[in-house]
Amino acid sequence: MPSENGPHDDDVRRHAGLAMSIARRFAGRAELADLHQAACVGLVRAVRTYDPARQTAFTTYAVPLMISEIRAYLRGLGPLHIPRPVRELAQRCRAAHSALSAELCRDPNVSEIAARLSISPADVAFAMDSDAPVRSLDEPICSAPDARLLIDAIPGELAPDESVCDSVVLRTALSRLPPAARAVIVMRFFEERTQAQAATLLGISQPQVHRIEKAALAALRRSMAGE
Amino acid sequence: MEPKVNWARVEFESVARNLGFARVAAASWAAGLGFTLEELEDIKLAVSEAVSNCIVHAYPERPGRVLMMLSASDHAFTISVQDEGVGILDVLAARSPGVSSSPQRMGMGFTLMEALSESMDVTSSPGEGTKVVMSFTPGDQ
Repeated sequence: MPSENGPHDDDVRRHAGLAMSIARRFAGRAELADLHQAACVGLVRAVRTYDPARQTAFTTYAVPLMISEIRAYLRGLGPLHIPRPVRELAQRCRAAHSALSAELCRDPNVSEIAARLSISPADVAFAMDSDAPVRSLDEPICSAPDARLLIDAIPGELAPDESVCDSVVLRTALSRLPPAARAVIVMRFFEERTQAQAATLLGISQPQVHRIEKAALAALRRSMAGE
Repeated sequence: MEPKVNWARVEFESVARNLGFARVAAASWAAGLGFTLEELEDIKLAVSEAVSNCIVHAYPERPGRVLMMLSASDHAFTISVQDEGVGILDVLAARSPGVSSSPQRMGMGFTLMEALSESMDVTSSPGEGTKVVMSFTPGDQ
C-alpha cells in the first residue's frame, strides 16, 4: 500500500490531464472544477489500488473509476436537481433573447440566440425547456379565492359542443363566415370528418371542399386576430 | 392500451451540426420512460460519444449516413447507432481507454459509453461499418 505522499503523487500528476479531459465530457452538468475534483478522487483511488500484475494498462483501469466517481458526484446532487449551468444557461438565453429583440426590432430565432451565446441551437432548445416552472395539479388555476384547481380544469374527452365551440371569439368569427364555409369548418374540425365525407354531404367535389376550407381558415384567422 | 414496444428511427448525415440534434432527439424520445434528469444527461452524453465516433472516425473522408434506432419495451430503453463507414479492425483494442486514431480525443468514447449505459455492444467490420448498441434502465443507479 503506497504512503500518502509517496511516489504515487507523480502518477496522479501525470494523469491530471486525463482527469480534466473526462471531466470536460460532463461539462454543463455541474461546475467544471467540481467535476474535475471528482475525477481526481477517482484517479487517486485508481493509483492506490492499481495492480500492474493484472496486465491491464493503467488508463484502462483508471478511466472507469474516474467516470464512476463523477457520476456518483452528480447523483449526489439530488433527484430533482437541474444542473446549475443548465439553469444559468436558460437565464442567459432569456437575456440574449431580450437583447437581440431590442437590437433587431424583431423576435430573434434560436440560431441567433445560440450564436450570441456561442452554443449550439439544440442546447438553447434544451436549456429553455429545463427552465419551465414545475406545475402542481393541486395549484389554483387563477388567483381568485375560490378558484378551481388545475386538475379539475384539465378536460377529459373533448365533446365538440362544449370545448372549442365555447370560445366566444371563435363563435363570433364562425358566424361571420358564409354558410358553405361555416358548414365545411364544422364538418371538418368539430365533427372531424374527412374532406371526402364533407364533399359527399355537401354535394360538391373534394377539391372544392379543400379550397373552401383553406379560404375559411384564413378568414377565421384574420377575423380572430381582430382584422 | 399502451403499446408494449415503441420505436423510432432517425437517419442523418455524419456532420457536427447533427450531433446536438441526435443528442436532444434521443433524450426527448426517452424522456417519458421514467429516467431522471441526470440519467437523461447520461443518455445524451452516451449518444454524443457514439455519434462523434461516426463523425470523426467512421467517415474520415466525407460525411456519410448515420442511423440511430431508439426502442423501448416496458422499462428497457435501447439505442443503436450505426454507420456504413471504415469500420474497426480490432474492436477489443478500440474499447480500451487511451486507444484512439485521433490523439486529441484520447480514446475514451467507448469507455464512457460503457460506463454510462447498463450494457454496450460494438460490432464492426472493416470497410462495412460499425454498430453500437447501448441499453439503459431507469433507476439504474
